[in-house]
Amino acid sequence: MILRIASKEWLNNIVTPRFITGFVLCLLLIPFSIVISINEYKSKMNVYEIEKAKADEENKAKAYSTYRPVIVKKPTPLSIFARGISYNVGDRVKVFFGDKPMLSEGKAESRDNPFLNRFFTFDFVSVLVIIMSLMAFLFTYDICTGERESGTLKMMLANPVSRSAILMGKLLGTFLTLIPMLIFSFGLCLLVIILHKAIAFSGPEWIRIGVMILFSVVFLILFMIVGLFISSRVRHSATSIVICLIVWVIFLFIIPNLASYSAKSFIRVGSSENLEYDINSIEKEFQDKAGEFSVKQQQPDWSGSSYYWGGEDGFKLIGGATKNFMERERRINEYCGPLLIQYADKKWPFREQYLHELEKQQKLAKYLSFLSPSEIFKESASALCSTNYESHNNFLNQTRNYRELLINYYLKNHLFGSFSYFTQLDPGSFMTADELINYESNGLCKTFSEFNTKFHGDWQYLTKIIPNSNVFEWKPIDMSGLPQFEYRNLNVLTDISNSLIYIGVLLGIGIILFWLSFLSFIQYDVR
Amino acid sequence: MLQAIDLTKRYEDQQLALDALNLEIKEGEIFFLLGANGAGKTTTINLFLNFIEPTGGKALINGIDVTREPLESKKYVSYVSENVMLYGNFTARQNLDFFAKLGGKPNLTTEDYYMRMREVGLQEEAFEKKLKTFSKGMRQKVGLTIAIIKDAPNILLDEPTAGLDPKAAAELLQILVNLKRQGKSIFMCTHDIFRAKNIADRVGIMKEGRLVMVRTREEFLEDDLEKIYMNYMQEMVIEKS
Repeated sequence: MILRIASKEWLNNIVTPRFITGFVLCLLLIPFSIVISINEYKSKMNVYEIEKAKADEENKAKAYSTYRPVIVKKPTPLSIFARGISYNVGDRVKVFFGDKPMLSEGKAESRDNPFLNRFFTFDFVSVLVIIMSLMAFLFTYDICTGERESGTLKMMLANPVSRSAILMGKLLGTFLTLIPMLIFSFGLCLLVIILHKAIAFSGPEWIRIGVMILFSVVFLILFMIVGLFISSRVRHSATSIVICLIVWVIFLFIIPNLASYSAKSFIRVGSSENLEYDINSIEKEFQDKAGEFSVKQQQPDWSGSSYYWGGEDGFKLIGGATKNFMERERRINEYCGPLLIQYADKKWPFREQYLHELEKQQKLAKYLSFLSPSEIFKESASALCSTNYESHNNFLNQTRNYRELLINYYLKNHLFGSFSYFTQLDPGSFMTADELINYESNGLCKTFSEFNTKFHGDWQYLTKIIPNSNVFEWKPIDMSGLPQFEYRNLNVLTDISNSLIYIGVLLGIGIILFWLSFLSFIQYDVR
Repeated sequence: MLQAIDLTKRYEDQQLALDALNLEIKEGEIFFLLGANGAGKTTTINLFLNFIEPTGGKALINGIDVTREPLESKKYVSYVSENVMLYGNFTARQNLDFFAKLGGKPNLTTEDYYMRMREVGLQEEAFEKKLKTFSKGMRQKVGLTIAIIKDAPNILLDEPTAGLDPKAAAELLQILVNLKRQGKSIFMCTHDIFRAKNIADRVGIMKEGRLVMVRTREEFLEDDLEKIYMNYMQEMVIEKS
């Protein structure tokens, strides 16, 4: 009997203008949104290629002190489906020893026209949510009221058929009406992607897409049940459609914006300027301590006519200096390298606290937005597409872990206390001041004191340069022996199980609402 | 056979819609229930069809309590409403087919449908036409065809002639007479006293939820039914004023 009613419902639905409207909407909006998403993805890939080339260049280090690798995260093609936060956060992290990576830098869209703004994110899932929720409401708002008003509900109930069978049949019929629309949407989306050729999905990515299709079925059913519930609680279709549209606007537009606004109001995050102030005071403490140590070190008799190139985070390249000078620099590095890391650990609680506040704000906004089933579905889709906060946080955590790995390598191999930390010259070739003067003055002066008395320290007499002492001409050294960063996306099963929580919530809401709708329909006044 | 035993319905707003109705409609009998709007006629039908629950007494269809065994009791009753709408996007055939199957007749052939349609005066050309193109009279006939297809021993009609032109109404009543001859119990609520006089075996008048008068054909032909009915209506107007 249920199948009979379902088939009647389906036949009755597919000849209605709303069914055609649904398909036309899909036909217009899905390719449009997919083409936009593909172009955005391509643009993001272009930015990635540029950033990656820049990073590869930057990662060519001339000594260990200059090796502070830049990591660039490759955009996932699944962002075409659900971009999540991936377009709001940068994908570039530079691994410093003096600071743990807090947030990523760069923004893929920064190369786009910054003056163009968009009202909505036009990814596939957002468009799907809009179309399918609207269609679900348009087909269910009169699921009870329509038949009551036309008198066919009485005609049906005058036969030996239970109300539960009518309800199930009507719901199944509506589901069978809407499911082709959903499959059509996904089919159209995949067709456009396949025709584009530039994008290829891996096996696990296809699994994620498959699971997303299943989740969208759950989402569709839930909105159908919400429509059914509203229809079962009112007597007139006009009232029902008004309530459905209000609920639709609340779910899709008001709750997400309100959640974000409320989270910002309830949880205040300190300004990044305050954070930087705290960080700077720690930084100053480090500088003082490092300076104090340097002062205490025996001053070199002469630095030599050396090349010196210094920078942030212990960046230092020295060539052509005296043995004493190089030894002094080595001792300073040996002390300051680990000290830099120690102070990074001191800075981290401040940064972590700031991150924690951001995270709290994000979580509150997320949970508040879960008042809307469409937001729950979007979050589950973002989790499946690895574009949600957790996925980005996973990337940042991996960069932090990688930094630890790199530091451990430096410590284990005593790189901070090595000459190779800051020079490419062989320590055996280092000369004392007298030897260096003799060499560089081409034998005109035998000692440093002779050079001072005879030529009054005039550098023009130092005509001979130590071979390979120009740091600017050094070639990059091979760093392949060092730990390399390899981004590991969250496992498919982990992502699916994370998403299952959200889908479980959707199912839970669906079951409760269905039960309430069922109770309402059992007592529904058919007159 | 339809039976109402002390059948009572009081709505949530305490309005007494039906007050201890006792009534029995036998096989092959046409019973017309007359009364003003709100007298309780439709409530009686709604109770027989278990659309609403009684607050007292019981309604029996072929001896089956409709409240206790609603699905079983509905096997023995057909229903024609005041304004048959059906599914406008479906053809007459699709509507007949759907309701025939709901009524427990899954194996009817097109010829069976044609035969029933001819019985109510519908042409075969109407078979594949969409219901939304039908006039009210034609829709009522389709509604009646559905009731006939079900072949239930009892037929409930709720003001089926309302809004019909005299010719269509006369045709519909002739169909009822034919059904009576087949042994069906027919219970019809109406305002149409003239047609009641034409074909009813018994007539009841309902007033404010109470069945205030029942006359057999011989009695109401002897008395002036119009006069009796008008008297009741006037009494009601006076009481209300």
